[in-house]
Amino acid sequence: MVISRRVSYPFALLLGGMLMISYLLLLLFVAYEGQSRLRAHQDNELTLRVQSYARDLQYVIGRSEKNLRDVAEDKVVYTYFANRALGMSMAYGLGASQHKLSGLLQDNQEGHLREGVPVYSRLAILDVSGQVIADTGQNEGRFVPLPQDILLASSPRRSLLIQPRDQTLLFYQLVPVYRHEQLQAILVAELNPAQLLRLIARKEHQDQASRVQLMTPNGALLAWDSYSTTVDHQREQPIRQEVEIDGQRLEILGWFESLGNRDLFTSNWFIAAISLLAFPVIAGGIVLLRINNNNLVLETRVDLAAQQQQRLAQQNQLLQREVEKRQRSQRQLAYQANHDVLTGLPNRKAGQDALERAIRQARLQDSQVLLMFIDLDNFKHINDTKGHHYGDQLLVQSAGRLRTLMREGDTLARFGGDEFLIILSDVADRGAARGRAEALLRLFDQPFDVDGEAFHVSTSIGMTLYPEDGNDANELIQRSDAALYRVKERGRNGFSFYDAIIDQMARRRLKLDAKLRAAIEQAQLEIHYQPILALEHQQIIGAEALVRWHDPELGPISPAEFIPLAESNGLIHRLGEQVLSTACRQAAEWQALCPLQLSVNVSSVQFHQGERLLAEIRRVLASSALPPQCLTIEVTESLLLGNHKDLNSQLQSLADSGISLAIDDFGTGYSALSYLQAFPFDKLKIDRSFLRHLDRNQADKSLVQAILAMAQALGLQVVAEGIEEAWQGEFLIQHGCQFGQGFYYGRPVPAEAFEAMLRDAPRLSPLPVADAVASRPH
Amino acid sequence: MLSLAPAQARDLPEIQRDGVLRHLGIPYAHFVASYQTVNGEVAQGLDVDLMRGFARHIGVEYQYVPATWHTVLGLLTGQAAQMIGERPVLGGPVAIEGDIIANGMTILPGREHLVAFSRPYFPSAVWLVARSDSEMQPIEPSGDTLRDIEAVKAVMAHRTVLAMKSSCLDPNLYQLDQTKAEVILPKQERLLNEMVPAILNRDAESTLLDVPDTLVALEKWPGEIKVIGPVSGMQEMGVAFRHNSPLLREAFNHYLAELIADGSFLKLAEKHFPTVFFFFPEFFEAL
Repeated sequence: MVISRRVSYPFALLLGGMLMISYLLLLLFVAYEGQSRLRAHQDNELTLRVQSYARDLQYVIGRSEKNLRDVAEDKVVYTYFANRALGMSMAYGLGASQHKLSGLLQDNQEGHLREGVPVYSRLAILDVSGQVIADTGQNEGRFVPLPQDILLASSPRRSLLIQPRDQTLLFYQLVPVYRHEQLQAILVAELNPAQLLRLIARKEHQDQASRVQLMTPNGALLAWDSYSTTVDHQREQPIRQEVEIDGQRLEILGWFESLGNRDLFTSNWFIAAISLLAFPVIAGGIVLLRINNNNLVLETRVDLAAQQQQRLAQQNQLLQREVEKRQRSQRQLAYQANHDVLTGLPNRKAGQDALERAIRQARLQDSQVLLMFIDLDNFKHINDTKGHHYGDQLLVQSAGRLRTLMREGDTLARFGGDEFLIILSDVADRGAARGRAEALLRLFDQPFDVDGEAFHVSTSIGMTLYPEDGNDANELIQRSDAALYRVKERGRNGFSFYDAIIDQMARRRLKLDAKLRAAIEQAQLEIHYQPILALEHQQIIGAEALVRWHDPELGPISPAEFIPLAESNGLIHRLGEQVLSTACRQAAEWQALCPLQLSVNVSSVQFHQGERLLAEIRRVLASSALPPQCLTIEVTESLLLGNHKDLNSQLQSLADSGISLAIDDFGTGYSALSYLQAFPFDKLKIDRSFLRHLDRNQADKSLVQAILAMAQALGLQVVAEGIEEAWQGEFLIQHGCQFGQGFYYGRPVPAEAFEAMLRDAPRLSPLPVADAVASRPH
Repeated sequence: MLSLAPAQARDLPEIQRDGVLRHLGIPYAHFVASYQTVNGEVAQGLDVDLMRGFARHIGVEYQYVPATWHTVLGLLTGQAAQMIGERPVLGGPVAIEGDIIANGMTILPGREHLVAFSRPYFPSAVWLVARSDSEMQPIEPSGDTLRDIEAVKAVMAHRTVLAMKSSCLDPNLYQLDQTKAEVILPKQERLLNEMVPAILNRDAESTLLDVPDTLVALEKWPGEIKVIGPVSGMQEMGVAFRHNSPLLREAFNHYLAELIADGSFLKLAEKHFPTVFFFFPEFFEAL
């Protein structure tokens, strides 16, 4: 090691110095050789440049002459001289020709360009006396720049004329105009000085000192001079190029600054700079050698450390990826736990959490929170009739519309089914809340488009304000729901705030719910029976079973109140069962007194049970021993509107077992005649509302007549409801209505009273009922 | 073809309701030039451009309806009519086929009994034009149009002059019967732009010709015809409407005023008649 260091150090120095000197000598030689070749090349290039100026000048002037001859033979020129020869005056006809002639010259001056620069600065036509006929320049009567004698003397062979003027040269081209081989006029073109200067100094630029001059027999034209003083160029030998144009000898002279004087590349400064550069390079070499030796050991250690570090870094990276993966899946899980998969909105739990957060925040800031509970009207109906796919699409689109109304800080959540929650933290008062609710309702004005089918869906909104309407999230949600319930009751597509009345209603509903449950449990509901008569014979042929509820605390409660309640909380099934079995048992007993047709109302909700309902009816008929022919099941039109699948087969099955089917309240709902044919009905019941004003409302009268005629045509029996006066019965008999019921004949009464009524009534012949049964169309 | 009974006034609202403006035109100078193509008759010219623009302005489709000088007034008003000199002569009812006449129609007092004209939009005059080999020589302009007209009428004596009834070249309009000219009326119905070919065909030595047509002919037949001088003073042309279409006429006048105000009318005139400004500068200055 020691020996090699002693030998290598001075040797390396000597070798470095030698190499550096050879390098510098080589550099100088190459620079000198390059310069010599460049100079030869430049001389060559400059000669070619001046030659190209000469060629361009010759070419452009030659082209220009050809163009001028074309102009002289143009039809416009011909027309003018023809019309002039015919003696036409400027006022009557010739003026137009002259106008066109001026236009032709103007077009040529503006349109004949070379590299974007006009070739002509003036065009004129002069008659043989030198008088101007048309001129694109100042019209002075005579063509001033050319003296008359020169103009007329110029032979038609020679077209180029060079005239000195104002210490410069003007170039003219003259072309004769003939008609019928007679000289008519001369076309004179003044070549654009800017174009001439451009042609013979096209490649000159300010960075290089040069001078270009055109020599003519009539004087010199200086085209370019970028020497800093007027005498500089005299040191140089000019490059000369002769050019013959139209028989005239012209010469282009060009002076150019030589290469040596303008190129810094081989100057003395450059050589000195390169020589000085050698010292720092040598010094740098020495320092590098020393550093290199000292660093050998260190480098090995650093290498080892670097390898270790790399391994660590790789492991680190793997670890980091694993952590990221786990974080991602955690985030995804958290998202899934808090969001609804279908709409991507926060779910019920996240909605409740958001509400609680908003309440905490409001408590701190002493502000208000608005909670909107939103429910899509008729969603269930669409879901049932069109399938879940439609329902899902509707929910996704509804969520999209609701989202458009959200501002920063608001929360929109899907609460479940077709219910959404909106939590607004910045609502000032009820007026502002009302505004937001109205805007929300408007979102649903436009129909939804699901698979190309349009649906109109409205919404109902129940609203509560924290802290006015409730203290915690659950209370607010419950009360918003109660407010929503009221909107639904009032006909949907609206909004309502929670208030004391709703509170009362909600309490009463809760109370009724509990009491109804107990009443059904303890069979406290009563069945009353209203007689149905054959109108013509005034004889009872049937009874409609009607459920009545008298609560010891609340008094009598209308079926209009407790039936929908039972439908909504599912009690309707047990209620229906009780009514059916009690009434059937009763009717079976009464058959001994007289043949009696029993009518029982069945709610559309009961039909959702499907086969269970049918089995129940069959079971009750079997256990009561009432013949199926004596039972009429009454359904409302709304059942048919629901149109759930299997309905037709359910109804058909009832009809097949001998039970009669009747449409109740006919004419009040969505009466479609197609129902009457699509389903196996054999009776319809005209709603009481048509009979009320039968005496003075012509429309009602016509409607009742039409229903009766239609029923007759379809072979259906008709029962009129709500007969309260004798004349109503007479009208119905007159128009062929067979059956009726109403206060005029008898109110709904308990079983004992009805039985007494049957006993008191004159004995019926069994014919009408047998008739009715036999005439059922099957 | 759509035709309406004369009693049915068809004014702007009806035209906008039907969605089409029917332009009655007779091929004449650069006002209307029509030719047959595989797609039917296609028209071009100053008046065609003007009517297309007007149709667009009132928001309807444009339709060109070809006519002749003998039928055009009837096709507009529903009652056949011809001009005998300055006197309108009425005929029986005919079907209305157009809503507007625009083909460089000169505003003449007699015509104003039959139709309502728009504001003048183009100048004209009638000149005497002769074959170049005619012995008639162009007059020396005196600077006074009336004296020039007298000079031209003197030149006409004992010469054949082609004219056409019912048009602006009607000899009665210019009292040619008071000159000793031998007026020749075409045997069959001609278009105005067939007058020069007729004299080149030696049907007559000279013809009455309006200025727009003369300017076209001078370019078309250079050296074959010459202008002798004027037969009339400056005349004005207008677009003709039914008397019971005042709203349509008002809409057109309004449209024309807009074109004049923004300079596009002068551009349109120059496009079709580049030299007309030279002869009637005063008309265009006063527009």
